Amino acid sequence: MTNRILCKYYASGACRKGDACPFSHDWNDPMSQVCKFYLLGSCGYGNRCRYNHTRPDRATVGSPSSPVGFRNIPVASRPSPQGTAAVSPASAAAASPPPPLASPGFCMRLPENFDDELGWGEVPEEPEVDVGYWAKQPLCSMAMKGFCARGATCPYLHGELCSSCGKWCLHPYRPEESAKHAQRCAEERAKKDKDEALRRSSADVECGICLEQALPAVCGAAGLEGSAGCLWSRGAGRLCRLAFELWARAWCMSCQTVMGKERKADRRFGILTACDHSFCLGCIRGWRAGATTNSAEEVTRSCPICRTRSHFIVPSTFWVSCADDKEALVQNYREKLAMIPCKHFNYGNGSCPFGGSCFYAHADSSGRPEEAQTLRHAATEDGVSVLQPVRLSSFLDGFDRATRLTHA
Amino acid sequence: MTTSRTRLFKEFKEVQRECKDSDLNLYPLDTNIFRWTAWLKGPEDTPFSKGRFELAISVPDAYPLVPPTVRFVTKVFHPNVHFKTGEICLDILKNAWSPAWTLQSVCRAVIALMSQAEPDSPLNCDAGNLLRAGDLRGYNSLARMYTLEYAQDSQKK
Repeated sequence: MTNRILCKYYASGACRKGDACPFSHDWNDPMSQVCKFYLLGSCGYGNRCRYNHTRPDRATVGSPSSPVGFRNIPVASRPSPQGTAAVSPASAAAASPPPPLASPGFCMRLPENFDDELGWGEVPEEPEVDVGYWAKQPLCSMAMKGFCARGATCPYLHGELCSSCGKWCLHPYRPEESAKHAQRCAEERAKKDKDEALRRSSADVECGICLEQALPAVCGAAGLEGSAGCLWSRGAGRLCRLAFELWARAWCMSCQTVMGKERKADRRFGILTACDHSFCLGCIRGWRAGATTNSAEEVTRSCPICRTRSHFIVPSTFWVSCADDKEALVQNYREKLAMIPCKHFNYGNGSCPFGGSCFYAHADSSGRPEEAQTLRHAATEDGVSVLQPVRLSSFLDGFDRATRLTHA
Repeated sequence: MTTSRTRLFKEFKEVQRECKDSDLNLYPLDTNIFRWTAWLKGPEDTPFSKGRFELAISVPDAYPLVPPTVRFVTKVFHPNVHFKTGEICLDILKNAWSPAWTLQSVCRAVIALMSQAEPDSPLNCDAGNLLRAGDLRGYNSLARMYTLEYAQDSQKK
């Protein structure tokens, strides 16, 4: 059902189809999770594909709108959001609003008598603005990114500047959508700032195995980003961050204070659940795998420093010192893992040695979760025998049930 | 390989930075960071006092996930040190190794072992039997004799 799937162009602020778009323009709807290779006929991942292998129902797919000839392109005037040269020829505005630009394969060719139709050159007497009509019009995607070569002659609406993300993407005639966008932007910005603060605070945490700092320290350069010295302090946050990081690393290489990991993928902590000692993910994983040492599992599963045993480690891009944050991190990690299908369980075709205590999702291909296994017993002459393969977890999880069954 | 090398360089820096202890001198070979030499001073109040003992440390590629191989070059009469090969019986060098140990802390552990012998898992049966039989005087005099014989300050290169 495409009208319940968030339009990916709308999500990036550039859907030209407006209300005629067959996809949803509601932020509450999810993005499409259907595998496009599956739709084309073959997906190399098969059952293991992380995207959905379902075909969309034909009846629910929005039928394409009526074809629109290029003569009908609403190249009519557009009121400039800046308030200058708001051209609105009476002829175009008085006529019924042109059909929306919703035809697939829509061509942006302009008619030959473009200028005549528009009546450029004539100074309009009164800029009449039909709010209902303009609210349906899409924004110019060029202007949204910062520069539209056509300027005031652009047939599309030019949005207003969003102060958080720096894009000209606020629709002047859709106030509620603009408000939503601003809210999302503010939330994202706050999240980014929080992450950045966490990253900085964990920059000098050292791994107990390789004795290096997992994250690159910024050596006095902290706090520069976003200040007057920073190019593109708003808007192109990505470029800024990258340039900043390169600069900070180069700076610190010379004074030998950064011992950040070379690869970005290595700049992660492996957080032990039972104690507060810091290790980078690669080191602690290598130690716990125990492949290179003949130490007992008792030793490798415990913290190299305090020998407290942790059952699992949590990867994290920043160091958590507060117990509440750690709790939230572990919870978040387990929730994320619970979304991933267990490869041992293999949609019900395999058997997972971890049983009910597995972190990964145990569900068959239709998404139905695995039924809780109870032990089945049968009385024999020499006592009670168990009819199913036994897992330790079934004793732990379903202990009460099992005892009840035995007594029944 | 790179991990172990980086870590050894860090340890080398750390060893250099710390003020030179009189009871421990640890340095790698000039040509090979994976081979180290340590000179230990025998702890006070033990038969090994006033002796200087040489340790040869060989670091495997998988370090720090596997322990380094440490042996005495100087002959030592000690229940947990093989008299001929210099092999050391110490749990942290075997199955109780943890990557949080450094070469320096390993040397400290060896010094601690010299003052706190474990006669119940002996590599040198004579020394172990003497201690287990309670002949502390015999053990002390033998150990003292070997210290004077092999581990005198003057023999330090």
